Amino acid sequence: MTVNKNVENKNVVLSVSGRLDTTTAPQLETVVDEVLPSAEELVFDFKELEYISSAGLRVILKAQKAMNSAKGSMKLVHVNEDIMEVFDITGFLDILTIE
Amino acid sequence: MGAAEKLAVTLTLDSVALGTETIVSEFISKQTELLQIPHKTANRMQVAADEIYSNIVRYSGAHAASVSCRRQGDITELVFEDDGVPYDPTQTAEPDTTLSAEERQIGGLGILMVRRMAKSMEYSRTDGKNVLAITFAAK
Repeated sequence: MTVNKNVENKNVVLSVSGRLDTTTAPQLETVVDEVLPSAEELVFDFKELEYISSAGLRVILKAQKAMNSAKGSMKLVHVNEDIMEVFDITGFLDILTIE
Repeated sequence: MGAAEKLAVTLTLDSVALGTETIVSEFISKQTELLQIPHKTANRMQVAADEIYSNIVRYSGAHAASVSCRRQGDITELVFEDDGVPYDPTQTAEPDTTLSAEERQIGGLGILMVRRMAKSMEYSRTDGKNVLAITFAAK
């Protein structure tokens, strides 16, 4: 997995590619923790993401909770069909903004 | 079912640090490619392997574990074995997936995902081992 970070003012785009699982989720969490304090808009671009397991969901949920309490906004873009299936099964479709 | 390729892992306290989860993930990648398993099914198998194996490593106290992979026509199968404490993931309670983000917990979501993505999931305790067989539709 690789995470590409693009920061413009308080808008942060994290482009995640590869596999988001038990092994790689801590790397994403580190980047998310770095950007959360200053981000007003956080975007996860999942165009190149192959799959996500519950370890990855944990990081996404943590980010969503933080953005909610900071009154910021968060969205996910370019989510593929397999990852949409995971969000659907777990009820994450209801708590995330996916475009 | 066709012949299964099996990966055996010896577990120590350092199994996570030593990257055995990566080894399992690479094994599944290689097998799904060799068996020409469709992309969607291969991804589901990867997610299942991540959920099940990481549970074994973190919570079972097992000294040895294995995962095997095979395909028969439109069905693929992953079998996990470990000598840890008895644990039947087919019997765990399902988490509430309707709560708000604030109330949401991650516990139990992994097993729920595996259950929903799999075609079948069968557990047995055999010769002091947890044996979990999970099948998937390879379409």
